Amino acid sequence: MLPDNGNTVSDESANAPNLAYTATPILGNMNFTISVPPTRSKVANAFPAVDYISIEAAIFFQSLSNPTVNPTNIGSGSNTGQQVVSGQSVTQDATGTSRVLNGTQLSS
Amino acid sequence: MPIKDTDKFIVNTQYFQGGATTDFKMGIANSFYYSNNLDFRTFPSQMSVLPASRAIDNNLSDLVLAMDQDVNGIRYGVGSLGNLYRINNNVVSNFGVLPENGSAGLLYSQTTDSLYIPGQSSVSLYGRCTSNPSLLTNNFAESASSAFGCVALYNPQTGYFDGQVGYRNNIISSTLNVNSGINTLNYQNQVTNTLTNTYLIPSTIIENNTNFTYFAPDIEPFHSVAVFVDAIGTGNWTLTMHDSLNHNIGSVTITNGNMKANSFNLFKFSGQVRAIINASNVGYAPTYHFHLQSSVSSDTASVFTVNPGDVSGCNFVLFAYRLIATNNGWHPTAFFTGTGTALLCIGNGEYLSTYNFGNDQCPSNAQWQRSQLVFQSGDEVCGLSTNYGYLVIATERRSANSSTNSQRGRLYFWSGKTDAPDFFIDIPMGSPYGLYSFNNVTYFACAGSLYAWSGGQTVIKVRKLAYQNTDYMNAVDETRAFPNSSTSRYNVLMMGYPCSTTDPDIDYGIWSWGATELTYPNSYGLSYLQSCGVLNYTTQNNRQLGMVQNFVDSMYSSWAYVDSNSVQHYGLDVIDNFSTPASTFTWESLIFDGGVVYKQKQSHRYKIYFEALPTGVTITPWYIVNRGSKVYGTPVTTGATETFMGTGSGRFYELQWGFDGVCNGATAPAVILGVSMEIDPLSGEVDLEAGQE
Repeated sequence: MLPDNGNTVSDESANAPNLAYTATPILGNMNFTISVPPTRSKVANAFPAVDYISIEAAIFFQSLSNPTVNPTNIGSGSNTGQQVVSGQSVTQDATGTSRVLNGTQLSS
Repeated sequence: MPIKDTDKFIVNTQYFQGGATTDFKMGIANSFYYSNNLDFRTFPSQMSVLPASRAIDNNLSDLVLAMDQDVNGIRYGVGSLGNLYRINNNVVSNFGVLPENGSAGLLYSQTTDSLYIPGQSSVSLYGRCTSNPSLLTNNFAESASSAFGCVALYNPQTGYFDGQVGYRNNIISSTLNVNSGINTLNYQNQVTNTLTNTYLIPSTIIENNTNFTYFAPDIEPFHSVAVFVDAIGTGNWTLTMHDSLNHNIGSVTITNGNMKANSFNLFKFSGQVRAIINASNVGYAPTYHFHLQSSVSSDTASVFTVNPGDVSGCNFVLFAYRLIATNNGWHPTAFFTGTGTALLCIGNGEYLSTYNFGNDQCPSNAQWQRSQLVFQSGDEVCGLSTNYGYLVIATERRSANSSTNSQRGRLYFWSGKTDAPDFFIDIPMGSPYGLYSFNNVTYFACAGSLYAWSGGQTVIKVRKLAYQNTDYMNAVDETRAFPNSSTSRYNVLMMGYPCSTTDPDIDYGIWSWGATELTYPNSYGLSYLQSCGVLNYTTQNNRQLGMVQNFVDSMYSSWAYVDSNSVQHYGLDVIDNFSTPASTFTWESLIFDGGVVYKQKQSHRYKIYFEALPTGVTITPWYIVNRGSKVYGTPVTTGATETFMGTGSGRFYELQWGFDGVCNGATAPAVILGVSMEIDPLSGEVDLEAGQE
């Protein structure tokens, strides 16, 4: 909403978190608007304002759209020496990323 | 919505929670271009002067880079040159100095009641803090490898250093308590020699596997090699370390007069020798080997060895430094329990080192793991933090050449449940500095801007801190935030920024990001200037900011600069409940052009309204026409509730306004309620640009 009385911009409805749907680090702010845009001759009576994007909302939607994946739970001591990783253990997480270094390891 | 051109109007600002903007002309609602020392969040309908950052000591010996607090509330700091400070009721005392530079790491363990203080190559200990403490410098220094790859002989039948064909000494033995570490102070008593065969030391380097001693190290960088000598002969002894391609990576010579027969002799390298650890060994091409030479041909010098005439089985002990001497000079610390065990975590170059507090007297290499995690070669840890069960590790690839800057960065995340980082995010924009987690959002500064991560596979660029790029800077950008430069205070992120820079246009200070409560937007501003009064870097003043650390209501920050007489100054500031208002403050509006920058407008009068100014406060209004110089009005002082100034002819395309304030001995803060500029749109004038109506 544009100011109509020359006073301080008071509208912050654009702060609604769903704005973060349209702003991502990859795509940028697809819904960028300026509340008091440039005009032809007509002098605006306030500073232009741009939409506020809540970082919390942005992070929330980022996490939903491309979540990190919990790793396979393999710790030291269970995967050294002559042992073969088998049974309930897996060597790749859900994304197919290898979580086990295959090869010779030195004992210590 | 544009109004009728015939009307004069007021551009009135009396809400301020939008904070400082990136752009000159636009920002989020109720924002402004710049301020310092003003609180625009606590009550968004006003601005008040923030407490001054006052020096509790302006004569320190170095720049404090890290702070922590013990169970009794005594605070401790470590400086860039290794000085150690105790801060008790804001009285600073120096209680010691490390033998080497500090490295921005300091951690207090309440269980052991001790401080763990990394230097450049070792870690010192101070404790017990609350009961007759003492400083044990380099308490955690070089220690010996106890790996099969160093102690056992290579077995060609199995392809392993498995010990089936012999051991050099008793390090892997039930007769040696390997739960405690072996270091250069105790090894002569702990490591024995039972070998009786000998090898005569040649005067030349002979590259075959009976004339060098090969091994596969598990720790690095190499500090020294102790070799058990049979006879010292008459020549000087040289130990030369080779990689598998026979490159000389380090050599040490001991004169014959300093050699001891039938004893260990320690060949200490002049510097750190970097090496690959835990590499697979195949056949007779292990990772590293060393040669022993005598300066005299056909010398009688000899060492004990497993097989006669074969030096590959000689009795030696490999020592490695506790820490890597990094290009960035940092070894940040953090406390992490993700493994199920309390761990001291230390950023150690391209490794994460961990220590389980298991033996402060002399931990084994299992208790103190130098390379718990391995990062990209060349990476150096530049920040540690924790976020929702992850240890977050920021690394950078810092150039050793001061005429070029950092090359890249990366964030690693480790749950403690795996032998490698769980995942990582590349930060190709530069080095992720000032890593800090707050409300489970991890923030960092990179290439002039603030970034955040809290789940997901991407980091979010939050906003500009100092610059979007360094185009036209005409200098190599070396803007950095040090590992402990961010903290939180009353639900707001506080960033000491920059910590060092070559950019003379960045204002040093404590910048804030956040909101005081859910209702209001996160906003940004320069909240606190430091007491030293040096706002910007010059090549002469070498201004630096070391760290910012908040303890609920007391926030400390450190500073450094060189004065005009070339005298170096270091100091420590605090902001607490006893602070008086900042001595100066400034506010600048956005630049106003009415959305028609090409058209002339006219200003008439400018007014700032405030609560009656407290004793000692002076406010001076100003405005700037078309990005020129400031035009000042008449200052007002104690008791005044407004300033009012005319603006002359007032014609402008762009107009900016603001005020400067001074608090001279004031004990109460000034409170600014509104800033208003009267504008005539000059609607009766024909516009100046051809083609416009």
